[in-house]
Amino acid sequence: MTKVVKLAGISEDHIHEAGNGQEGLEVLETVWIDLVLLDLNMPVMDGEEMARRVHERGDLGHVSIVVVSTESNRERLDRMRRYGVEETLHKPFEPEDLCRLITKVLGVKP
Amino acid sequence: MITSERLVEIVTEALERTCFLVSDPSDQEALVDRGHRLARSAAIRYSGPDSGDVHVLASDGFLQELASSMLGVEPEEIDLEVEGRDAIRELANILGGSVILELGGDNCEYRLGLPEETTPAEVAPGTACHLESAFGALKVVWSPQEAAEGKAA
Repeated sequence: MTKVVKLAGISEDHIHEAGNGQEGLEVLETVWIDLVLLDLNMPVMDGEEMARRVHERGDLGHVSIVVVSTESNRERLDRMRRYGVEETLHKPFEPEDLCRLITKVLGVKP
Repeated sequence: MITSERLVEIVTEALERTCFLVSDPSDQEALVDRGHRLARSAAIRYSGPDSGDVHVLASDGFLQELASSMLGVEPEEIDLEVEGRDAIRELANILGGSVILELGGDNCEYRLGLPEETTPAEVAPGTACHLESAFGALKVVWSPQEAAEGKAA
């Protein structure tokens, strides 16, 4: 993911990684994040739970969430949209796909 | 039903899109003849209308190149015990996702588990494909549950 994000034009200084949903929430507590690229199937706390918790937090309303996952289950992806997920990107994907999505979601080009 | 030929297409597309790795179809005999040892493996289970596993087995050379491509670093910077293990699990994740998309289509009702490291001995029978790159070799096995049960019976 890191390489593809860099190839999409995002500077490494602007990328924060988390190994699971719990770590992701901790990053959101300490760093201003514009966009979360969220995998769903993760240990400790999965992406669905993380998105639900972010959605419930009024102070994180500025965070855009895009699911980047191997998940194809329509029901689950629909549920994610109810948690505020704006777009989904299915792995494998190319840097250009991510670039287009970032532009669409944030309204700026990487 | 996924044929071996279709599995090759799924795997090569995933490798090219995810990490720009080019590989060519091969076979078990050729891999053995060229001394490739598929020592590292990972698997992911899927469930839904039916269930099964996708197993990925890789040689150290292939895994090193895979990990370096995924992370955007030089192969020499890869620690197979750390980044290599992460890479093979992620590849199992990606291929698992591609397989369930192939099985379920746009209205996919399948779900994936978490990828786990395995041993080559744990691979259940199923549809297999073998690939070679300039750096090493890869084998992917799709094991739908009924194929595994058939062997056990």
